[in-house]
Amino acid sequence: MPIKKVLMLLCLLAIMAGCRPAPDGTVTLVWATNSHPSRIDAARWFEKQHPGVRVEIMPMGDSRQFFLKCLYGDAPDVITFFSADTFQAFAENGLLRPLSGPSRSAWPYYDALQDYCFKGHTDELMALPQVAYPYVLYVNPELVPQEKAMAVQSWRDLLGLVRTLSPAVTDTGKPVFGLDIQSESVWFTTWYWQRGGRFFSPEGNSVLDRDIARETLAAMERWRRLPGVIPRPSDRLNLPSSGASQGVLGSLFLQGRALFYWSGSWKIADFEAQDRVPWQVRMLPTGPVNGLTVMGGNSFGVSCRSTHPELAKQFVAALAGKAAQKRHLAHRIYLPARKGIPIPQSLAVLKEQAKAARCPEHSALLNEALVKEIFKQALEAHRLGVANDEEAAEMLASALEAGAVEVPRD
Amino acid sequence: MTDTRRGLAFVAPLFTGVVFFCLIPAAACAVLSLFRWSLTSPPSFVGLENYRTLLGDPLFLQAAINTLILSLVVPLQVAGSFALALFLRRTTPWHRLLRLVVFLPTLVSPVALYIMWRSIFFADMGLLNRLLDLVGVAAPLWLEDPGWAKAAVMVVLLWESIGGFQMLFFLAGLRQIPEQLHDMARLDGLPLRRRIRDIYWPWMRSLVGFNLCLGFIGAIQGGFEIAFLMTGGGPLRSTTTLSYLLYENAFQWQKMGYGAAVGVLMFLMISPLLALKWKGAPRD
Repeated sequence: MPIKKVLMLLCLLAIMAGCRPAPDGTVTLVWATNSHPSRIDAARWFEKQHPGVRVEIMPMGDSRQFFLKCLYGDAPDVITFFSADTFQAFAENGLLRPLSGPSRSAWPYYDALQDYCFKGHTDELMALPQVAYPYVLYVNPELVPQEKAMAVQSWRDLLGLVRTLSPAVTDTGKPVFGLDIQSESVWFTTWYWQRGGRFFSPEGNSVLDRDIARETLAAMERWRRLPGVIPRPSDRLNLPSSGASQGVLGSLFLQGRALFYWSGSWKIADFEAQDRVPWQVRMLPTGPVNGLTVMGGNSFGVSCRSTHPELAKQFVAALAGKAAQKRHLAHRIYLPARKGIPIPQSLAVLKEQAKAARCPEHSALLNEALVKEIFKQALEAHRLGVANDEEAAEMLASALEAGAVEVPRD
Repeated sequence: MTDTRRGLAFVAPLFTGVVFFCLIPAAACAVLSLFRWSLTSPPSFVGLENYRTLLGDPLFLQAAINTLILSLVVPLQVAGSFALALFLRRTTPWHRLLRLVVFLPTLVSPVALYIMWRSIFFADMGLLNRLLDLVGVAAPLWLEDPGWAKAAVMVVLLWESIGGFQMLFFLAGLRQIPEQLHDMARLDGLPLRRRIRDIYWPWMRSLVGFNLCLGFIGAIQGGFEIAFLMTGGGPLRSTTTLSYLLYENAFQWQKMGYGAAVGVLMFLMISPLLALKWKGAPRD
């Protein structure tokens, strides 16, 4: 009977689908990270050192979605954290295994990275860092004489220098801006910190100082009003989408259209990959009260659902170890998280900047994406002139207290 | 096997899918809207609090107004699709080719389309502003100005749908009109305006209503991709649609109950249209 044959064939197919190849003794570690060549290199390096281990890279995508996936579904063995807030969300929700390593007091890494590794304000180590990303000031030495760039200490110095060098134009007649800034939020945060402000208390409540916020916004507005100093978003190639890549093309600096560029040290990779625009790195200027700046980083934790936790811990320790960090320098991108690893002399300033930097503030009471949106709306309303200094500071304060996005009123 | 049983057997797979992937999630969404749930702590029952907060939330109000304003392109879409169908209804090879060309954008991924339009509207190097520069017109900052961003989004929504499925429906509808009526109109020398009123409109009325209903339903439910990819919902929330707000609340800010309440209110907004669609759907 044909129907019987069909059923038998289906059964056979089902049995074959359920069959797996005989185990060959290989253990597979799944590592959630981005697909940068340095990651692939690190995976292959660990495999060479540990025959019989295969490291499989799992792309992460959006950090919030990835967090939910790990919370409700499968989690990889090793997880990379690109923001302190995401790390804390994993640690607070019991998704990570504690690691053995140095305590806070004996921390061999840059202090700002502690929030990427220690759960809450406890001494419980849940992840180890590999890389630090301090924000720095890039200089175009063809447009800015080196001795003048070296003399910049404060924002006032920088503005004075920019004004003496402006207006400048490119070979094609396009205006050259004084200072391109990667992010309004980083601009506001740095200047607010440098005036002595804080956003959150250790308990996570908003402690925004309205006076300092207002003063910061007023200072930003003064810089924006000076023609040719700060480019508008429309002067850049990136647009306000949240879905598409903002990519390297967004940098005016790489088009030779900015004297200075304020961005993270990861941009060094882009700059080294091109030979059109010469560049140097300088410390960011300091503010009226202190020199605190923003620093990002990454760290690696072991999932509590890992099927090979001990091997995963070994992998994390190896990634954060001195040998791997030195090896990582071959990719000429990042500042190793561990202090005391020699880096090229031209990038020594990164170490100095990292000492003056701290992790972006976050609150366990407020979702990271929501905080970003609150900042975005208030700063955008201020930039577009819909809210003045007072209103934008008030908008920010009330939004951070209520934990909801405020809509500017016309 | 009786006809009824055979019919049920055919319908069963689809019906099961509808139950499991539409009805049960919809019911779960309605229940979830009565809870506060951040996904990381257990849900707590808050009754109608999410709705009360939502109705007083200026962000929700702005998203609802934005969605309604963006849905104003629907009558233009329908009128444009009808006009195109009228123009392309003939069956010459030239018209067939044109039909294909006009329908092509429907086959392209919206992601690619929106990214393409984003670069067209880009203020500094965008194609549109370069063309406007050439003719000496001061070009606006399309996606950076809250006033113009909405207009830019409406242009894209109109462009992408005007030659799409609505046009196909109209083409199919136009073919149903007996050829004798056209012959008589030609003999009587009826102008286009009269032909539309006396021939096309009576035959196409229900199809126009159907397309309008479907269009409005799509406009109220949709708008997520374009907000996500082209404008990020901004500037200043001027292009945030209800679906984008739902996504942000539920999946970005982890306010699942609140996001579910947005979804329920969206359903309530489109339910009169659903009823209308039911009533006005073409029967043949």
